[in-house]
Amino acid sequence: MEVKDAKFLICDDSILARKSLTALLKSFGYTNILEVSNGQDAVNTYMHEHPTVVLLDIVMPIKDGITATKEILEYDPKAKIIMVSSVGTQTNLREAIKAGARDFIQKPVEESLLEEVLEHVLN
Amino acid sequence: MDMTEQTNEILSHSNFEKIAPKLSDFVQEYIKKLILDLVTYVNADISVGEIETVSEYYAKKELSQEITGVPSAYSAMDAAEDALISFAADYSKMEVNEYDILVREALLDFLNLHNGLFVVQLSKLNICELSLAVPKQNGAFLMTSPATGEITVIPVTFPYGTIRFLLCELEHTA
Repeated sequence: MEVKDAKFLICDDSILARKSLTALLKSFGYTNILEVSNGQDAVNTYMHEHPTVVLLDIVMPIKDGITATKEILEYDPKAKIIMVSSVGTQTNLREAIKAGARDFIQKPVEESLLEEVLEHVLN
Repeated sequence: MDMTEQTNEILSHSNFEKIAPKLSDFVQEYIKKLILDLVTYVNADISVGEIETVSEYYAKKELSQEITGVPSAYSAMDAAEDALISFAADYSKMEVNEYDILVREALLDFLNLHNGLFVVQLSKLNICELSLAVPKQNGAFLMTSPATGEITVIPVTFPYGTIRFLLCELEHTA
């Protein structure tokens, strides 16, 4: 399997969700993967690590995903952020896109959809 | 038989039809979606016991999540520890043997997934736009019904035990 060099930052308060996303990314050939569990840590880690793509949940303690998206994009307007959430309501979809997210993936994450979205965002 | 038909079949063997007139549309839809999500993501071999409404409920562990907006609601799940461990293993497909952090995470992950899919369904049907609070885990708790209504207890029996799902509307639709 080809090892791909993009760096990922997964931000989700659920250990299960992080494990499952990490496993999917590894199955696609990505090995450089960071994990954090709240929006504030996502912002801090982004500033230090400059990941290629951020996969961000919405409902999280300390700082939610929409606020974290705005703060990351304020720091780096070119940041590639994909929201991954179980709460894909019309309001959240609108808010995520308005905040600057590149895409929105509804949980549970379908492998083929994640692969397709990543291909689009990375190219 | 598809999963929706399977859900209807499971509910037809319970007292759902009988008790439905006493429940709000919101609670009825929540129960239907809960059974569909359990069949889809956890285990299709389930049956629903006697659904009832109570004014208070005591649980040894609090595994809960608030649905926010109008209407808002408090959702939770409760069972004997062995059943919770088996449910967590069934849902997460992980090997777990004791009530530890992974089990609690898996239980809250299911609650969050189901509640998320429920509010997405309401949003897609243009019924209402709701959101979710962060799921909570605490020790023993006494759930008391607010003035708006009662606590609906939905007992679901799996091959390894019964899990009781709880829903309590906190604020009705305006």
